[in-house]
Amino acid sequence: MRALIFCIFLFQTTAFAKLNVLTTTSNLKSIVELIGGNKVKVESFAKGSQDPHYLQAKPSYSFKASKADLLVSIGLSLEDAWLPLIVRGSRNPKLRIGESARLVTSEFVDLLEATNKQVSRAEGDVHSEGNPHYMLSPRRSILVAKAVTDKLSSLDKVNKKYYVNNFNEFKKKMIESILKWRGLIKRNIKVITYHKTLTYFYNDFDILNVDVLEPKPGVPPTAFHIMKVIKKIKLNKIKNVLVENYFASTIANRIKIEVKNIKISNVAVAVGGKKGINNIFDLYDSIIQELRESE
Amino acid sequence: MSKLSLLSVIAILCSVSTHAQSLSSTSRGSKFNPAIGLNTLFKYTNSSKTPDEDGLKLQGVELQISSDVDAYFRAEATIGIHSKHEEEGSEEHAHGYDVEPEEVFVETISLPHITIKAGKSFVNFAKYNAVHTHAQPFISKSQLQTRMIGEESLSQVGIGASFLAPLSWFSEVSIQAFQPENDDLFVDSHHSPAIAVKWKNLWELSDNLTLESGLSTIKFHAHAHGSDVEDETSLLGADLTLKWKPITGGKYNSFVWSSEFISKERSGTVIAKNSGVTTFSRLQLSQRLFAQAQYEFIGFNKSEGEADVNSYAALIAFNPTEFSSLRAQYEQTHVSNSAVDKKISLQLNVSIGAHPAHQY
Repeated sequence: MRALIFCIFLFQTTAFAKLNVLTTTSNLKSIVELIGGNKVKVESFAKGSQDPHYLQAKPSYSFKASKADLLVSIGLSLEDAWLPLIVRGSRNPKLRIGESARLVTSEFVDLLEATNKQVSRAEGDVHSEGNPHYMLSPRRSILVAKAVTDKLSSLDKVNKKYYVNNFNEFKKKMIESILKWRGLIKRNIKVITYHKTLTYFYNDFDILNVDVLEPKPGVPPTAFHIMKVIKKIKLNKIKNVLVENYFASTIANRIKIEVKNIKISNVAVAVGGKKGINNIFDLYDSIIQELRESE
Repeated sequence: MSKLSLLSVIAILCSVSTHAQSLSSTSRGSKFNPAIGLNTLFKYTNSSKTPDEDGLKLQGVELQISSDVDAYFRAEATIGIHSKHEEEGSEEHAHGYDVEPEEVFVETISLPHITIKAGKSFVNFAKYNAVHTHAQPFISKSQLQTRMIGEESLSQVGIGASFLAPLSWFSEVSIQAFQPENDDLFVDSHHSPAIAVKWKNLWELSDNLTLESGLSTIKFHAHAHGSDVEDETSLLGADLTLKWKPITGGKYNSFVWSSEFISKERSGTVIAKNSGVTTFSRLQLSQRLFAQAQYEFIGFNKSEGEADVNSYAALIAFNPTEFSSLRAQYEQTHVSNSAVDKKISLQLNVSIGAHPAHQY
């Protein structure tokens, strides 16, 4: 009898235990939270104001990963500089690529800027497998959410219906939001960005990214390149320069000296990157708002 | 001998590459090729005390190769090419290059909670012994490391295990048993392993600030070959590092303060003891510019006849990307009863190919 009570207690405890999920970026964290709800406890290595290319592999991340039930990452070499060290240090073999507790979401989305041609570091920090910033695409966020749903369901079969219901709600809300956002901004508006972070967002909403402030990906702006960009701004009558929130606006502000009516927008590109951006919907909303203000 | 070694390594690498290519048809293409990276250090030195060492030099080359072996193991090899020093009378001079395996080891990847490592690897002792030359905080190794451990990091053949302690913060314990082969530290003995133990902790004081501490020791005792005298070597290391890197603006600002204490004691056929401390700080001035300063003192609890050593260094670094850096360093070393050694060094550090992340 006591054994039976103990088994029931153990089952109940297990059933109510939350899945411990780690993500590499706060955008992925938001997706997992929206799908996983109260069945998951989620933490992101990179905070909303940090550049995920260059995170430092703190040993405390390995400690957190040692207890994780699932690790969700972007892939496409975005985290190559730090994530493998964290996974090795965690001594949690389930988190290795290909294992049951690892989800690399790039495998589930259609990618932009993938190339088969030979690339070298002389071209800057290029990702030949594809641009890794696909979480800035509302359309692709649905594909990522589906992958997260399937993975959570496979790890926690008891709550599969709950995750699927959350996904259906997420998908419905995202489709409605995309339609709303499309109605809020004009097609073919021209912008300048600091880095190629918003490529997928622009692709979803037919926005033309005329140039970037970096002469090559990952290389800080040079005076010569900025002069070329200023010429393009004047030629194309561009009204907005968007600077991702983990870059300083100093360079962009110098453009304002040459082009007085240009708007320099410090744009959050990750959840938590600014106050009030608490989930992925808030994030896309905020970018739409910045673009509307420059029309 | 060094030219022959260099040619042998090149021949082995070529044959490995050829063999890998012939294997690739059976191992499903280049996706299974190991990650290969090369670090090269070029140095210019101008010193007041060792003019023979001055001038432009190839400070070192490190070829790193790593890959998963199978579902159970991962292997890593670092082949180092360094200046070879030969004694001429009472002085050492650089003559040509030595090629040697810095690290060649396998470690487990499928065991939960523990990593077992076997092969030749850096002994996990002190803060910077296990750090490759190109990743050292200053152009030259600290006086503390050089005088306590040696010109080269202590890398020995052995077996070890490391695991995370069941605490609510990062706490890692590593234990190694190795065949001691370093004349500066151990007597020649083939039947007595040395044991190294390290306990490392890291606390996240906030999202922007971490505090790391390390305690490590190496113990060895044996009878020297053909002797009844019992020899003992004991090294003790303690380190503390504070790192600040804000989550907002961390690309442009950061600060590190790191201090380390090492003591060494030998008894038996060789009697020696000494202890010292080193402390340095690094300030990030902009995205790619860093300034560093260091002070060292060696001479606590020392054997009679050992000199006190005071050393000061200042360094400025410009890192165009994470794959290259230019560093300029000025250092002054005062050894009691000797003339001050003043040295200016310039270093170019470049990395090509795949490169594993550096330890935090």
